[in-house]
Amino acid sequence: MSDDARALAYLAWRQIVNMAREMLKRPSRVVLWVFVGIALAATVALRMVAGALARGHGRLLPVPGVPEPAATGLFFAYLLLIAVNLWIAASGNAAGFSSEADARFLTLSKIAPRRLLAWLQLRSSGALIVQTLFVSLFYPIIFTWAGEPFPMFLTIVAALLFVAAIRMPVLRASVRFGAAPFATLAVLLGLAGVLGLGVVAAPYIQPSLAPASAYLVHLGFGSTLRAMLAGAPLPILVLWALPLAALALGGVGSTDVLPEVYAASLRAIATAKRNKRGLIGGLGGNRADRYSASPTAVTSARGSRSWRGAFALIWKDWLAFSRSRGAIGRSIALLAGGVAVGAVAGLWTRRGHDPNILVIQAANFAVIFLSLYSSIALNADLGKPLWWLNADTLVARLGAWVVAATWRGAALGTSAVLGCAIAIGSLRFAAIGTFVTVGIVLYLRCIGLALYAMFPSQIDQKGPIAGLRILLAYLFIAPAGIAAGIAGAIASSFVVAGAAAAVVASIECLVLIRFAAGRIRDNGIGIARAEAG
Amino acid sequence: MPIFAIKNLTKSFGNTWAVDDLSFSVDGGEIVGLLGPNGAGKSTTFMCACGLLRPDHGTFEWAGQQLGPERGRTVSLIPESPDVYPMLTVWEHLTFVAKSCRLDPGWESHGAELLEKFGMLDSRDVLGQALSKGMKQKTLIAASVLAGTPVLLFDEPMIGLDPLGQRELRDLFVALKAEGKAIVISTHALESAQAICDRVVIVKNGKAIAAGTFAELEARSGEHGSAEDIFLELTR
Repeated sequence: MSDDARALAYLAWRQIVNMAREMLKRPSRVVLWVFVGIALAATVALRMVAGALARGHGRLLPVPGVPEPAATGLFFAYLLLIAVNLWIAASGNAAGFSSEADARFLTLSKIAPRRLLAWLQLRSSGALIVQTLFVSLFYPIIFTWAGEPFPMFLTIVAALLFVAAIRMPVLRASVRFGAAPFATLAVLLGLAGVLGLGVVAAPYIQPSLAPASAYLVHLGFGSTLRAMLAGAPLPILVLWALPLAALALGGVGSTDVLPEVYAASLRAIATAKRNKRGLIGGLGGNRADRYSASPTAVTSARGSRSWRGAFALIWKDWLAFSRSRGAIGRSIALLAGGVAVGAVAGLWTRRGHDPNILVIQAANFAVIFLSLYSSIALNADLGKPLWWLNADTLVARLGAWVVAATWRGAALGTSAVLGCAIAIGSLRFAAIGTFVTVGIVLYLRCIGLALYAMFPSQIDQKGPIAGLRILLAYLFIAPAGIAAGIAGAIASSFVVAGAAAAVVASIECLVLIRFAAGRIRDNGIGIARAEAG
Repeated sequence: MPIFAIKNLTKSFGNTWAVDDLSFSVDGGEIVGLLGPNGAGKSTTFMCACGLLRPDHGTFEWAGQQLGPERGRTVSLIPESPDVYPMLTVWEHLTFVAKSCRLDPGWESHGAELLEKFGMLDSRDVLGQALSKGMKQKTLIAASVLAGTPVLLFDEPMIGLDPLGQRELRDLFVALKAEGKAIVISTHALESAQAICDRVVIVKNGKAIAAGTFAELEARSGEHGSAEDIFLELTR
């Protein structure tokens, strides 16, 4: 092992050891970790066994594989993902440093820049592998339809690794040769992806286009993916060669890209912080903008009389959102994407699949996925006098925060539901789907807030609290579901069922917010400080 | 003594010129104050100088040698918010620097000396997340000194420090100067700047509008009074 590698390994290892020590200092944390670990392991095992028994197979993991034309569709979706990443890298957005300290100490070191960049690339890719493993473990339902577990894991990791690994070499090449060729390539790949997806999906809209879709499937893009998921060694090896080559290319040459990597890292760090606060934009800009963008000025908004007290927090959030660079454009694109995904899912159900089952599966996935990635950070608010100057009660303020932090996610989910509803032509589906979507996002925020008030440290938030959020989500959603079922059965009306669910959900959310307020009251700064520890 | 020189530095963000053809130098064993109102381009200058922001034009030299993209090894920036790794102790920061800079065996005694000089020997096993701003600053300075970085840039170092912290930091500047470090300090604490800086460069809208000792600036401005009076007269 070279001196450089030894130094970087020391840096990573000591941070892991110290983090583990810090976690073990509080007995409540140890109990939390053990409880969540046992609960999730039991859930995973139960679901795998239940899945296997339900299908009557003699093995735990039945393997029907990904059918065509879905496999071909996945291939073109992957092309689209590569195109997006190419575009991002060509635009100078390849983050690598995890913090300002990381940039400060690593640039101070005498580690060769090419090795440093390779390390940054490897580290961020390593995080991706761990996250993929985590999601795969806690979402074993994937195993029941996608393929053999181990080859599937190898395929997904290699595919995601390649997407992450191409950013650095493309950034270096863009700085050296100009961004235009790579941006053009990204556009061409993106068009190929969209066109391929369009042809695959076309027969669902216009049956006469089936021959075109069949021809595309016949070309074999999907069969390669199916072979990988079934465990064919050669395609998997070829796929793995791609990220390894990209990682190697990331460390080749002497082009200086540290300024671009630093600026992109600051932007990524600032965005992650804002997301944890449930925000997308910052009112006063941030350090990343300070060094990478021209100062901006906007016309001051006239305070509306209706946005007073706690509602002023929602108004402030809207200003921050609307003034964040590209936020409106990104949101429109995301909503359009949501409608498109929902429409494709809706068209898929025309082949005899039950749309209600689709909604339940999607909601189930949303609960698990959003719970894992919705850690909360409120120190920027709780640590500011402006937050405490508000005339309304803390419960009202936290309620306003929940709304401000919820509506974007709810809008995105609703867009997918509406896309699906349009495709299947059901107003009832749109109403129920919207209700369920908004409800789930609200639940998750309220649960996250209550858990944050108990365990504000980011170590806990990223660790066992993610698992606890999943468990509590099911626990809190159950009463609303039961209430809806009973009320619906008695009144024979889905409107009454929805109203019953809404009442129970509102009470539960209020209880969670009141609980959080009780913990935060008189201890705002303490919670804000504990967040960093 | 070797000289650190910034020559014709220009940096724009879109249509805004953050730094406009700025040139100045600082000798080893000298402290230069970079003064100017908010938005004058001081932080941008520092970010370019340490290699974390790509300048549009301009060169950086140390001891007559032009510095390349890896100038972060020669020019160390201690920013206004001195960030350290939250999950490394003070000593582990120094250990990482020693390993990554391939320091000769025996660096430990130098590291311990630095911690003692900075009054941080008792804090050597404290995690970064538990350090105060002043302690973080000192950790970064100790790391830079241990790495042998000859040029130190301080961006608003006095902000957020209590009077004792400010006094300790001023003493540290003097000690580093005596060791031959070339030091540039961006600050709004004009009285402190007057006390410790050998020369000052005043920037406004990205341009250097005045440079020299406080006595020279006093003569030039025609303002007889405090450093604040002179600064306000020149940046009016």
